[in-house]
Amino acid sequence: MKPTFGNIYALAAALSLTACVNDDTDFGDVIIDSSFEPVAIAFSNDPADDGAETIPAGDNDYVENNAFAYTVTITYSNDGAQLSGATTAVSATVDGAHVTVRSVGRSVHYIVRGESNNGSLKVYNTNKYKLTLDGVTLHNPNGAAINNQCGKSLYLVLAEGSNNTLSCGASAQTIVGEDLKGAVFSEGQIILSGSGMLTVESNYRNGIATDDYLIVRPGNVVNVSSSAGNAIKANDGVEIRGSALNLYTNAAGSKGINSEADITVSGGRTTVVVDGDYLINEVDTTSSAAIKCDSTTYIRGGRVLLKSNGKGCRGINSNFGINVSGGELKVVTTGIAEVSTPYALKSDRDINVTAGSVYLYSSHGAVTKVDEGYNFNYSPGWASKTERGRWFFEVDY
Amino acid sequence: MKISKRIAVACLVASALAPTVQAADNDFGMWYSVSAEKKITKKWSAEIEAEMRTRNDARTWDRWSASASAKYKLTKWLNAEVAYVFLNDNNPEKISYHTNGDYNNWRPSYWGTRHRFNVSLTGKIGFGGFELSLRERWQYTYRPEATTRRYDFDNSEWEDVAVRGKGSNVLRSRLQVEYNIPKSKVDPHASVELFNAWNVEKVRYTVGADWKIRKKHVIGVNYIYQSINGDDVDNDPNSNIVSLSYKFKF
Repeated sequence: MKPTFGNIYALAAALSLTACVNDDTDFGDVIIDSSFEPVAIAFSNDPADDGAETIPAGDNDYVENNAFAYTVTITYSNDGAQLSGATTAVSATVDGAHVTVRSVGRSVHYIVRGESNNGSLKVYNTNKYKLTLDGVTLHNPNGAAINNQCGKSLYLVLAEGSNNTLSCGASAQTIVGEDLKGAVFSEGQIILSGSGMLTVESNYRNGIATDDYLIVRPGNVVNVSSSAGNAIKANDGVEIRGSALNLYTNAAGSKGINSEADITVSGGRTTVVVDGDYLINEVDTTSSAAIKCDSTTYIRGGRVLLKSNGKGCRGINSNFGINVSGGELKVVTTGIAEVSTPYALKSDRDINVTAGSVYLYSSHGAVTKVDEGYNFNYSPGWASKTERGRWFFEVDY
Repeated sequence: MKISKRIAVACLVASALAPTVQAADNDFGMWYSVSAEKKITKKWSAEIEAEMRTRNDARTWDRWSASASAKYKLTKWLNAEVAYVFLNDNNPEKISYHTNGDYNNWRPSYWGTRHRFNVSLTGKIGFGGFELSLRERWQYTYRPEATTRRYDFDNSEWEDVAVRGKGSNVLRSRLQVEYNIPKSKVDPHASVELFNAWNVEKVRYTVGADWKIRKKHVIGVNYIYQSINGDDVDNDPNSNIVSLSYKFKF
């Protein structure tokens, strides 16, 4: 055999064939998969799968447990409005299609119908009252379409099969000493029920705002959008028991649902899409969010579908914790992080998942964020669970 | 034939030792080179060389390079040499962390080019069968500007990062002893080389042998240990290396 330096190079070649391995750290499950398509979250006017509603006797939040002795019908036309029925039970002023009614010490049921591009309804009752929207379209260029200055319960009922639209312009004529916080504003709590459709479009502050609490009962389809503030703002809490809610906002720093007290979802289908970025003012930075709660957020049932597209826009931002004990929660954040980081769920305290299903995706932030000393907890016993880095988490019970 | 087998066995042994070496937190790599040398005149010679290197226990390509050099014999005991080397490096990944230990950024490995120029002076003396040489080499390496991708864990997004062009100077000092075994085609040698850029960045220890198979063919086998002190211009880790070379002499 001839001198075989070729043998050595054959050996070297064989050894070199093994040199084809990338020595990078495998971050496959940590780094976001750019080809990953998160679940689609889109509005739908299909009714929610609410099922039957139980009406507890004696519960004052149910309009069915209240009697209204006087019924007043307000019918709008383009440039005017007419009152009929028990008109003696109220005092009313009509200015074009702008109607103001007052009632002292009486239980009144207002039924509103018709259409006006320059109209409104303002109520100064002293007692709780029922307001049925039975096919009404109202646009107020200079203020709220419905302005309830009564601090008691407003039973807002959508008549069966009715289609109602309330909207306001970008500016408002305010009165000193009176709040005016959106297209539909109420000093007292709003309890929404019925079996119709309501569309609220606001260009001045919030879509639906109350200085008390808001309860949404099953049966309706409610579309609320705001280009200037939150879709829904309720100081003393929000409770969604049913209905299909489609909420949209694109104002900087705005929220789909915003409350200083607890937010509870136990039924229905709530879809929120927020395109607004964070807001920087002189003293602070405010992040936008699909749901913002200054207290605790509870999801006990129903479907909650949230999509946050704005820069730094969060899914749920809840100061005192987020508790999921049933239903379905899907959160997708697609906004980029700048001053604010887009977390799917953010809380200063614990985030707990004990039942139901949770799907979280954040393309530029993280799926969860809690303060130091607190945790994101999910109970054992889940049927399936997927974790992919900071950007995806899914668990089903 | 016997020597060929011994060299092959040595390579296999070196490869087999790699896990042991790794246990000591050192990398292991194989270097392969092919070169051709032409004696132009009595004093001038020229050489071209292609080289490939591996890292990560010889599982990952680390570099390939091509060089051209010219050597001039100033005196019987002093040579001068100039060379240009084109380098294509597989730059290893870089991971940065926050102070709490969370990931901050990750820049994956990427291929990038460099240009290297060097000028050398080599003096040598012989005694008995030994030859002692000292080579002083000034080496300038320029890395052109490049754009790489970096993953930002805080924002969960990829971002383009410009790596600025940079030049670096290194003075390499190599002391080598070579032994000419009488009536043998194998010449063993050993050397130590310091890479100095204001401080000693790297020390390279080498033992090996050149085997003149025929008049024109030379095979080289070396074991090299590189000890890194601080930042090294080549971003090398502490490494055990087996190098195999083949040179054709015109």
